[in-house]
Formats: sequence, structure tokens, C-alpha cells
Amino acid sequence: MSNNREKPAVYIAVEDNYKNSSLLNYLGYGLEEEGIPFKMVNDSAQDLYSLAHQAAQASRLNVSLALGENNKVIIHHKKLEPDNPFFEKEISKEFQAKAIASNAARLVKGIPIKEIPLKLDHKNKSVSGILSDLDNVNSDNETLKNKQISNPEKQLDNKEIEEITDYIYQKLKNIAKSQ
Amino acid sequence: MEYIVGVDVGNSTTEVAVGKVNKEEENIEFITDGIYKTTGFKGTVDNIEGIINSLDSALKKVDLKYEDLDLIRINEATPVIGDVAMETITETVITESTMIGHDPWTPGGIGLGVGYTTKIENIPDCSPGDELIIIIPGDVDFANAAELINKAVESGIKVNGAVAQKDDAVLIVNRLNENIPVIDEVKYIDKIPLNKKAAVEVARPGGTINKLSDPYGIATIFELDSEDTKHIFPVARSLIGNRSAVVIRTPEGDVEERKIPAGKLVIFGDKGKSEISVDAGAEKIMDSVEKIQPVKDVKGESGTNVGGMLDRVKETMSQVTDQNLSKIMIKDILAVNTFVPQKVKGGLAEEHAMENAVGLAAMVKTSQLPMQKIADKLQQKTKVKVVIAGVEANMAIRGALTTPGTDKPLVILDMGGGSTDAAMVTTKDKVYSTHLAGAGDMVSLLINIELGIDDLKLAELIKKYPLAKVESIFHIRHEDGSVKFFDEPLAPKLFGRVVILTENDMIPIPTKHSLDKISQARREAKNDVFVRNSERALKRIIPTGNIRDIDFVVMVGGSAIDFEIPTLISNRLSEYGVVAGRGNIRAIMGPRNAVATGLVLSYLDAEGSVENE
Repeated sequence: MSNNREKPAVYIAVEDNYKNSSLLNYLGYGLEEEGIPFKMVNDSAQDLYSLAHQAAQASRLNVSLALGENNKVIIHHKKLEPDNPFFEKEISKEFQAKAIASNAARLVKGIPIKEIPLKLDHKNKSVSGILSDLDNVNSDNETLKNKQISNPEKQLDNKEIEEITDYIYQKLKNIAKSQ
Repeated sequence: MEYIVGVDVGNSTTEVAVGKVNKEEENIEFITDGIYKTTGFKGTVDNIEGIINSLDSALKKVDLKYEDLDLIRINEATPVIGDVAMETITETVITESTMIGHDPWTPGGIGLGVGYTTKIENIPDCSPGDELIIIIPGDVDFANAAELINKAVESGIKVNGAVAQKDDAVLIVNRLNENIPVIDEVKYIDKIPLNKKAAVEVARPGGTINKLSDPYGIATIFELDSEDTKHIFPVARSLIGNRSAVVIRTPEGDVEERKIPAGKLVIFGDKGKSEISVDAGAEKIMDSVEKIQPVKDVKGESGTNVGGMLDRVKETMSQVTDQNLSKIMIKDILAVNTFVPQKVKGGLAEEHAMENAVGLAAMVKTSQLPMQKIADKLQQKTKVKVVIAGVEANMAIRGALTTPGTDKPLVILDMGGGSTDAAMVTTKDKVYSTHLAGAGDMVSLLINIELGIDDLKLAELIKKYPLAKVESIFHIRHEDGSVKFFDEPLAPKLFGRVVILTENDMIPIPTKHSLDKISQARREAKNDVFVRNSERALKRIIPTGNIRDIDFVVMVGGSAIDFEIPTLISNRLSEYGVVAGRGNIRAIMGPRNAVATGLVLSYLDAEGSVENE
């Protein structure tokens, strides 16, 4: 509410060396897809949390996104304590940035947030892609399993694997039928 | 001075009451009570553990030991168990991909577009004047897609709509020179047939589509004759209420709503039998049951869900009572119509259709349960004399009559997990009783299938507790619209969700259903089971068959604790001029402990003053 002439928007704040990051673009795309206006702000603060918090204070939608060191993305809300943001995660992929940004938009809209995918869903691959993966599916599964042990957050993958296996199985059955 | 214990082993809980008897003054003072979940099936030796736990918890409160006790009176439990099952009776099958009826959060553009499905990379093969619906697979970036479409339009090709695989619709539309409807998040985009006539419709925000959800709308677009319009009707119907949809017409394409052969029920009575197919629906099934009264047995067609369920109940009972399977009879069934959201077979975006289904509860009764075994074992363990005392219904009435403001003639409705039991006592102490299929478990089943949550534990919680919507990170709105604020921010996983408010926790419900939809499903399930059963029960036990002839109905048992079931029943029975309410045993116990209390009270009576029919 600092300035009444300011349009309502989710404010995005970034640390200096992330100003040209492609992740930043995808934060914007995530908000755009959800139809929420956003604005870049040029603030500086001693850490990413304060940066995000300041931006949230300034936003008339009470919500901000911040991007900084180690590809960390923060969703902040005006009424939250600076060091206790709504959401924070270090990411590596552009689509994750888009998903987090769409969650910021959902925070504004008041609808449930999405899970942040750890990798782009196979469902977004073409079928030929999936089928060509078939040859490697065993080794894939193996590595995924190993990953799961080392990283508890990989739970999501299991469900995915099931889904894909199901789908491929159906596909193969169809192929078998048509022959 | 004597200490007398009443033990009631129920289907789900084992309750204990302890009374101090003053023989000269002929009065009993209740000093403590206990409750524990029933271990094992009711009427088996496994129950001992639950009884001991329940008894220990009661004795601990008043610092008594087994040695202090003089007598344990255990109920002659009614050998009744119930089970539930569901049978889907219709299914929607898309034989060739013909529609995508899903509802992405953020479709793009507004309006209706009609054209031929074309992959975005095949645009160069098209000539000016072609009418297209562009298919955009996930590996094409939204910016590229928009640019390609813009170029196509500039060259005179008419792009009337698009279907995208990723969540990109708004991004694409924002980069187009002209507004077209775009649907996104279509999972199996590769399965969309190409070069087929298709229509894409997106409604304005907050609106719903009106062309593709109308059979004549679809007929107009695809120039269908009356015969084809009949075929397309299930498509239109399944799209009602969506904000966006795609319908693709393939010559061999068809969507049909099939009836699944759901198996038959054969109901045997004294006078004859009645055969009814489950897909006739709940009303017809219940009509048959009422016509055949009293029911001697019910059989289901083998190889169907219904047959399997009925066999399972009988088998369980046969194991529990150690009786021959052929002696176990199903005495009642309750059928309820419901809808099940099921994945459409052959769908492209995991769309669901609401299919008709029938939920069934069954109840078996045998001549007796091996209560003597339990009594012997209990005596051995506690070194206290144990007797089997009195029929459950009579004891429940004795207990229920301790509710302030009640008098004979009185009816009790004992609403548990597996069955709804009713008993009536007349002014002349004559007792009638009946047992009906369908109770708390059936409600959970109905909630579970109607909301498609596939999690019985969660359905159980939805049944038991009120709902709220988490509206911001600091506040929730209750079902009645009141708002509660919190000092600490709520967890992100709760945000925007409908949550179950348990005593000290909020449990999110992972569906898109609104709070209203969930609470409506919950209330309907309770109505379908408990309100219907209360009427059925009353009609059966009242000698005149007229509900108006009784004055008092007291609800007891686990489901009477529910926050809305007693009100629902009370509302309905008030139409007959009946005073119905939740029991309040001994003015302090609420609807619990009726049978245990009755067991202690009846110690003073000459047995048989309350006699059975």
C-alpha cells in the first residue's frame, strides 16, 4: 500500500548476478500463465530473505518472489516474518521456476498450490520419446531407485514411474494387438 | 456392599460400567466406567484383550482391583455383523478419441473455434483458407508456437483454436495477434487424431461452456443427423459445467455409456423369493426387500462384486461362530444409489465421468455367538465370577431409560459401525427388536466413492469432523461461514484447500471439490443410511407399524455421537410427532455405555422382568 498509484502486482526481486538469469524469465512466465501481473523491483538488502520480505511489503498483492544465490527462489508474503517465508527452494530447472511462480500466483488467488516437479514430467514427452526410453527403462529405474535412497524428496518419482510404466504397458499392448 | 461390573462388547468398542450395590436400600451407585476398542471380531475370544483394557481403565480411575469386584455381567451379544460393497453399473467408453473434456486451471482465450486438427510442425503444408485447430506438443516452446501461429494467420491460414500439452495456454494466447481459444495440460496429446474436424471452446473466466455441452450445439457444429446426435449425447452431458473442452469427430468415433452387467440379487422370504438385478437401482432393490419381509436369506450372483461381498460376510460369520456356512443367513440389505467419478476409458486428458453405482450393506445374524467361551476365559483371567446376563436389546433399553426425560413406551436406535439396531419396550415391558444393515461404515464407503478420494481413512475423518476452507495463510472459514484467525502462519500444503478440523489438527483433502460439494456428499450419505434406516427400523418394530404410535426415540451407540446424524434423524422423526434425541445415559455418559449400564442395573431385577418377544 506504499503507493496507491502503483498497480497491484506480484513483485519480483533478484540479487544482482541473477538479473540476466533465464530462471527469472520463467518466474515471469509462471505468473503470466496464471494471469497475475508482476513487476521487477530494484532493491538491495543484505540477504535474499530481507529482499523478498521488502518486496512483499511493497506489493499491493502482498506477495513477492525473490531469486538469488544457489538458484534459491523464495515466495514471500507481506504478513510473514522475514526469515519465515511462505516457500523456499533451491532449483536447477526453468520449469521449476515456472511452477514456483505459478504457486505465488495461486497464493494471491487463494487456490491450492502445486507440487514442484523435480524433473519435467514424462507426460510432456512425445510417445516416440517414451518408447525410445524403453530400452533404457531398466537402468533408468535402477538409477531412480538409488536416487530415492539418497534423497527422500524423490518420492514423487515413484508415482511417476508407475504412471509411465502403466502407460507404456498399455501402449505395448496396443502395438501387440495391432500386429 | 457389592461391586458389580457390566461389560458390553460391541462391534467397534468395548464398554464397561462399574456400580456399587446397596442391597438393603435396593439402589446402585455408579462409580466408574471404561471404554476401549473391541479387539477382534465381536463374540470371539480375541475380545478378552479389549475387555481387560476397558476394565483396567475403569478401575484405575477409582483405584479398585480385581479382588474388590464381586461379579462381572457380560452381555449376550447379538450375533450381527455387517459389510459394505459398491457396484458400478454404468461406464463411459470412448472407442475412438473423440473428446477432451478436462478442466485445466488456466485455459487461454475465449470463444469457440472449429477446424481440422493439425500438428504445429505441419503448418507449412497448409494452404491459405484452411481452417485449423493446432496441436502443440510439449517439446514446442510457447513463444515458438505463438510465432508459428501468427505467421500462419498472416499467410491467410485460418487458425481457429489450439490444444497444448504443457500448462502454456495463457502464455501462447498473450503472444498471438488474434484471440483464439486454447486448451492446455492435455496429457496424451499424441493420441489426438489428426486431420479430423474438431471444436475447441473456452468460456470467459467464471463461466461455463455452452456450445459443446449441448447435444444440439455439437450437432450444429458437426452437422450430425438425429441418430448421431443420440450417440454424442453422453459427450455433451459429461462436458456440462466445464470452463473448456475439445470435441473431435472421427468417422468411426463414438462415446457410449454402457451398462455393465452388475449381477443379480435373490432375496428369499417366508412366502417366496424375488430376483432383482443390481443395475435396477437402489429403489427397486429396497422395494423387493420390503415386499419379501421378513427376509430369510439373500444370495448374490457368483462372480460379481455383489456375490463376492455377500459370500465374504457369510464366511466371516461362519469363522467367528464356528458354524456351517450353510447355516449363515443374510437377514437384511441396504442399497443406496450413488455416483462414482471414474476415469473415462480412452480419454486423452484423464477426464472423469460420473458413473452410476449402487452401494450395498449386508447384515448377517446367526443363532448365537460363543459368549460362554469368552466368559470362561475372562473368569480365568480376572478370578472374578463372570455371568452372561440378558439380551443386548433389553440391556440397552434399561440403560437408555436412565436418560432424563424418557419413559415407556420407548424406542432405542443403536447406531454403530456395522449395523443399525432398534429395540422397543412397551408400557407392559414387552420388548421387540430388529437389526438392519447399514451404519457408520456404509457412510464412510459412500463418502469415499462419491468424492473419488480412494482413501477410506480419510473418508472416515470426513464423516466424523466438520470442514473448513483455508482462505489465507492466517485464517480459515468454517462451514457456517464464520472465520477463525491464527497467530502462526498455516502450512503451505493447507493453503487454499478444504480441510478436516479434527480435535487438534487440520487435514487437507487432496481434491478439487469445493467445501459445499464435500459437506453435501457427507450429509447425503448420512441421510441415505441413517435417516432411511431409522424409518425402516421404526416401521418394523412398532407393533402397529405406525411411527406415530410411539413418543420417545433415544439414539445410542457410536454413530449417535456424530455431530449431525442425531439432528438429521430428529428432524425427520419430528414430522411424525416423535421426540427423538441423543441418549444421555445416567445423565452424564451421553449416548455411550447404555448396555453396560443396563447390565449393572438389571442385577437387582429378577431376571425376566423385561422379557423378550
